[in-house]
Amino acid sequence: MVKYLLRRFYALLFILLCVSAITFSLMHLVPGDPARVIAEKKYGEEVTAETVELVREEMGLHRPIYLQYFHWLGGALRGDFGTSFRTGRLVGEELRARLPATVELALAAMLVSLLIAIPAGIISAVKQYSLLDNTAMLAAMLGVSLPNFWLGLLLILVFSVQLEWLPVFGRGELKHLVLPALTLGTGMAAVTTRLTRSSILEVLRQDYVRTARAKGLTEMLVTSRHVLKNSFIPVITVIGLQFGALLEGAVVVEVIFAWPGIGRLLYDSIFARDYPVIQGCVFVIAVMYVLVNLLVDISYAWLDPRIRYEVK
Amino acid sequence: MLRKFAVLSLCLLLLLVPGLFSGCGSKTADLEAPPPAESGTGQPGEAAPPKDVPQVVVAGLGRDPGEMYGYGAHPPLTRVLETLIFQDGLKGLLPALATGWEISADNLTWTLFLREGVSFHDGTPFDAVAVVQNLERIAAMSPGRLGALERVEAAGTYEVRVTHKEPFASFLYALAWPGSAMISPAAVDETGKVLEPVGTGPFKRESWEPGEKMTLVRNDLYWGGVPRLERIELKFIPDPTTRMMALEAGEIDMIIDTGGVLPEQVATLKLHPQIEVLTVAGAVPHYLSLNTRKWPLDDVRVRRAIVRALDLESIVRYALEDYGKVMTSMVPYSEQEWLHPEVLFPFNRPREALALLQEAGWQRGADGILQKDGRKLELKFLLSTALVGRFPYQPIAEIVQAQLGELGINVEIEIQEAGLWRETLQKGEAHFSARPWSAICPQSRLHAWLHSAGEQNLAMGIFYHNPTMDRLTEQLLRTTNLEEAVKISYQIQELAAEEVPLIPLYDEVLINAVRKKIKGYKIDPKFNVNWEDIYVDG
Repeated sequence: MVKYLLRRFYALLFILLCVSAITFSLMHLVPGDPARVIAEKKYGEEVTAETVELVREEMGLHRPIYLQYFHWLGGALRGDFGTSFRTGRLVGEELRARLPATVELALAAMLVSLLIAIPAGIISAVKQYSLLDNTAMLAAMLGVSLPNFWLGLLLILVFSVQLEWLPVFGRGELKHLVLPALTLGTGMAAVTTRLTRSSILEVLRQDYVRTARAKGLTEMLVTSRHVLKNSFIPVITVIGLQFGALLEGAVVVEVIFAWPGIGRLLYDSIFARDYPVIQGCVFVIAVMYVLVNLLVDISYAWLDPRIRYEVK
Repeated sequence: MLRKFAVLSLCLLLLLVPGLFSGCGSKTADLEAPPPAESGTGQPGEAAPPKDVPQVVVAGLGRDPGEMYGYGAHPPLTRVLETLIFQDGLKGLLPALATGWEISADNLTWTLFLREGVSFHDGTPFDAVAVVQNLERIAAMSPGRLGALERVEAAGTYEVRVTHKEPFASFLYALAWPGSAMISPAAVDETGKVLEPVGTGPFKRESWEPGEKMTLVRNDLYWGGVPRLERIELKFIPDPTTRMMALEAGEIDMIIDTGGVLPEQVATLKLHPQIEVLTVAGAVPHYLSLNTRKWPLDDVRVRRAIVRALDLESIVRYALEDYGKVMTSMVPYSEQEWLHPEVLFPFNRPREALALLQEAGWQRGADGILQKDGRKLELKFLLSTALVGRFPYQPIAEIVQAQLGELGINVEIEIQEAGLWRETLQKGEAHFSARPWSAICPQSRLHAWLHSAGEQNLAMGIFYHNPTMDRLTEQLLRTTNLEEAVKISYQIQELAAEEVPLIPLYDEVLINAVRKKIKGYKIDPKFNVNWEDIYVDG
């Protein structure tokens, strides 16, 4: 196990190196003069050519790209991710301020999604073609098709403006978390419900389930011990991927609820050509992705003891 | 068994790590100011006697007021930082930290008389030494902004002398530019980087969480009198619909800034019994730029025909729901003293337009599109994604397309990412484009757009070159006498309307909305917020 983890750690380093190099080159392939974009953002529309040149030098954008990259890499290895062009703050500081909000929202959305999806998926599969199954599948289809921005605004209108139960926007107390988590969670729940259902249905047809039933086990025991665990491998894989996507893909929800997360930071930074922040965000997201996937891999071994990672 | 246990604990640990993060997050949140709902300012129907009303205002806006100029506090929106001269959107230039100014007979040396008894928020006295340091910092940060400086020196404790290499008429406007804000020398490092926005304004910045919010507190020692508000919270809400609903729910008390309230939201907001919608014309002029070097726009008759083919009144009505004003010249309404008294652009004269095109040799083809020497009159209208997101440029472009289409001009609309947009324009690959221009100084505005080496002339791919115009705009930049300068600007405005390197599209109407319990707010086309006069009643 230790050996396996060590291997994964080296892989992580390699992935980060690749990701940072690719991000860096992609950013510089985007057409347009970054110095001018930054200068206009900072000093208003009427910047002079001299100011643009000054900004270029200040931000180190006059150097060849590979030198800029090595300069950045050198700093990153020492834990210095540079300074944001927009706010003048350290990128590390910016990320530290945003990361908790992102993780908080992702976990809450995950929780909402699992609380809906797993029971709904199990019931739908066990009671296939029942009224419950049909209702759950219809709801899942709706959940997939409703766009996040529409659902978010509708929830605000009902629960914040009309009923005045929950705040419209921002982050702070638990009540601020409810609407964004619901908006994000329901969309994800729809996918997970359908997957849980089909995965359980498949396992239910396996020989060992028939054997378990033949042994005279109760249906409850068959489902909980033999079916559920085995059917969860694809579900966990998708949940892992979804969680990763939540870290950077919640931009729409973050914008609607003015939620100060990494997704929005990345989005704003791309448009402002705030390279150090873009690099920092991508770096953090890559680390999280790899960690979540590691978690998923480890959980496989627990779910199905036949899966082993040791090198014998 | 042991291995299973180890795997389980690892899983648990990894699950807990993000949990720890969120735990930290909520802790910091607890230490912050109470949320607006609990501060008692936004509860509808809660009638309290004015004396007991907490003087706290929560305002929502669509951009982060900390990002501009690298100062950490946008001067007009926060009023944390002040300039020597204040540009009021309606009254023009007013004395602020400078109480008066003089110019020498050779038009080269300006003497600024400073307000006495003012100190920065950190206690540093505001005097000539501080001003000299600030002017040097601004000149280094934004070269050319203050003109070609020969010398900046303290002529007394409260007197500063600025000498230019050549007369620079825009100097007072340049001092009123928000980027020319005075910042405590103690809050600036040796490279000129502003570490904290320590200014002289009626409010001090208490905290800033980029992309989220900024908190301002009252400056009890403000030279203009103690403000009535104790505290201001500026919340950055990027989505316009959320912003509106937050105001309706009473979570914020005001929506300020340009683009804060969209024209289509006004009708809904006006129905709300506790919300007042405020508007003022002249906020931001928008222009259509024409590539004067690219065929067929290199023929001035085609450009003139386009002016006559456009019906801007209907653009303002349909694309802006009347929250805009058709301009008569290049100069916007907020610069009254410079505005040419006559209507210079003859919009909406389709018959004259057609006559001009026929005179230039254009004939309608079988498909209804004008043709000349076998080539069709087809134009590319290039827009930037960034601007389309902030202004209704897309519907405007579509109306322009329809209006020119009626005349037989085929317009193709293309939207490009901001950086690419600029590059395409500079390469001269588009026929026309549109952009706002909220420049603070009329003299440098005319120079930037119309001089053959003007920044905007080149950046927007206009490539306009006329020796008379070059001479006039250069002369304008040097003329410090207002009366003379205005006369020159009239000539420039007339020539520009005749040659049509650009067409003024509309002057924006600024829309803000406030809850009625907020008293004393005066909406200003330059987005200045008179925080020192505002108070909460009821």
